[in-house]
Amino acid sequence: MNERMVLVVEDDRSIQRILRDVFLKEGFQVRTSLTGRDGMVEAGSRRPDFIVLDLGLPDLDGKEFLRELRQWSDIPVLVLSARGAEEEKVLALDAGADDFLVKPFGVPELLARLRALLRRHDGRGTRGPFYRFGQVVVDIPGRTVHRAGELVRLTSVEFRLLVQLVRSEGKVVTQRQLLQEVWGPGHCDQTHYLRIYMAHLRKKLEDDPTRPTYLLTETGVGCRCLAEKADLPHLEER
Amino acid sequence: MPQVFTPIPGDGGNTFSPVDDRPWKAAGPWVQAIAICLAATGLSFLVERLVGASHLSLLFLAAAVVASAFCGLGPGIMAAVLAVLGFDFFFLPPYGSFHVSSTDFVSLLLLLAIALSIGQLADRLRKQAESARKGQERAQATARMSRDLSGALSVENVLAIALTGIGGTFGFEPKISLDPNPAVPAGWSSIPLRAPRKTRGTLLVPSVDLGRDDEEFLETLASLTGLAIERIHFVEVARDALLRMEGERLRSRILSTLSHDLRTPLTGILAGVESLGTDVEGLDESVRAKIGEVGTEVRRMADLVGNLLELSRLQSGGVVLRQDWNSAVELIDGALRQRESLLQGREIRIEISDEVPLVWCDGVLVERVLVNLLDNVARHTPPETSVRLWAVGGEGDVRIGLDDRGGGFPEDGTAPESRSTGIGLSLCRSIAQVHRGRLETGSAPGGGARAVLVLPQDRTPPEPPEDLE
Repeated sequence: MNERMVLVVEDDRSIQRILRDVFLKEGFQVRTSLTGRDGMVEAGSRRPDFIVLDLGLPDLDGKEFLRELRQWSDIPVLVLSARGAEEEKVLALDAGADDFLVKPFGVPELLARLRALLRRHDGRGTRGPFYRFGQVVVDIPGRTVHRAGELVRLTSVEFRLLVQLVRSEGKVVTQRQLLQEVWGPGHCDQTHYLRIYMAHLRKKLEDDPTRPTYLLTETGVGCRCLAEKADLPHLEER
Repeated sequence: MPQVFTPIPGDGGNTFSPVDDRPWKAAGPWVQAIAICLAATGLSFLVERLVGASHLSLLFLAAAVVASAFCGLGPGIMAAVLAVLGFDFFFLPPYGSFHVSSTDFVSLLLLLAIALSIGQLADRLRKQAESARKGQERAQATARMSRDLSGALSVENVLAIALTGIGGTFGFEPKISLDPNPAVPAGWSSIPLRAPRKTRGTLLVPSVDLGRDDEEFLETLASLTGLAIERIHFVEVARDALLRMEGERLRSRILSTLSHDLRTPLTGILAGVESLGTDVEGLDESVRAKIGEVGTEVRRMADLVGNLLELSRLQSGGVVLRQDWNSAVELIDGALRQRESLLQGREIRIEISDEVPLVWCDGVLVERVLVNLLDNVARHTPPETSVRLWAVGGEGDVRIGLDDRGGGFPEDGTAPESRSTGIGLSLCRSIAQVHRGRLETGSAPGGGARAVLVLPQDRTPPEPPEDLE
């Protein structure tokens, strides 16, 4: 890899060491810090390409770290948290985290998340007009959705929800963010809207709506769509 | 518990005594009035030579006024009449007879009128002075008692102060019951201990006629007592709430610290083991397999720790459920995705009808139930065992079930030793309980085991806003 730098902010030395080894082996440069304050300084001076942040830091709340970081940087951040702390995850995501990983996590999982985040980050700024997942192609300017070449009729709310999801390219979008973007700020507690419309989208776009492959729900946190930017819509199939 | 408190003997109080119990008190004023008239008559005989009979009327008038001033209204009137009659009898001709001339009769009537009206005025003045004194005494007694009550730290304290205060003031032994409607013994009357929020108890006093002012005074003291009891009640409520909050905060801090401390080494072990598997070149396949097993067991350990912590959180009470609308499809799919690797190679069927309504529940916890049930199947049935997940919406509840074609749960609903995941199932039951639901375990229709999570539902989601194509 081209010498990218990752910053690991984790207060447990042994986990920090293991993460360091894993990343070094993957060809990254690695910086580490044991506290949030040090991490913030490192992030400012070294400008890493990627940050792995433990939410349980001794000196600084992970959410505070994120809020502070997001004031001047959009470096992708993967947070590490415990299962059952869904509230924490939501707060971290709302504060600007890009993804989360539940402890204990496997190394392949960690690397997969990291690559997905970097890929997404590399294409940032060029928010694409076209997205694709599975056999589905979403044409945002054309306001059309094709599945296996067939036009799928979506209601305007369904389309808006789908756009919010595909634009995040696999990143979890919290329920709050989705409700606010699609239905408006007054509807942040109406979680049943999401349940209903996610079911509609799955029915129209997934092969098996009961075992979705792309339109996934992270219970208690939010939803994600495993979509990627597409270069061209399948014009010939229109 | 109709507790009745009585004053502590020997604890002297105040000395305000509206009921004067000196023996000559009742008859006294009348005797005094007669004595004053007699004295005036005697004095008149002594000074008759010096001032002349006609001026003696003033002496009798003075007697009537003095009697009115000191002996009360009735004796005063009697003294006025006696004075006029005595003056007439002894000092108006014809002496020794009540017979009067017409001119004397007029002056006698005048004398009587003056005596009576001055008597009235004197009596009113006396009463005013008397009531002012009593009022001051009541005010002092009230102030004293409220001062003492404000320092009281317990209900017992309040009651002791109230009983000595009231007892000392009125000269009887009152009782206090903390029951607002106690049984009142014969010969006693009850006065409620009123406080702003509610009646805090009852003051029992011997039924004697105290007069309106003193009854009001007694009611004031009673409500003062009620107020003090209520103050202590709320102090206790506030302290209890504070203690409980403190306790919950401490518990949740301990649990989250414990969670962090237990998971951190597991994370290290898992990451270490997995990087060992990929880092070291030329490892034997059997070693690789063993490394994989260690990884699996570490994950299992982490789940166990998670379940244990969740269980202790739920069982310590005071859990705040994060309830919102969830769909059975998403919960089941979420659970399956969490256990994807564990269930690899098994046939998994999902049967959810479109009629299943959204479920109002804590989605994370319910998903946890399903994960635990899946774990149970994965670990205790042969790898080829198929799994069926289903959901139905019933009358006022939603049932999410899991059937397998494995060994099955025993009839009594407890897990046998061989497939016991005690903590997992206990957690499932606890989660069902905090949702006011239950976990039913038994046999599936086609053989195998069935576990059903029953979640009572008492609301339906409002319709989303209109949406156009």
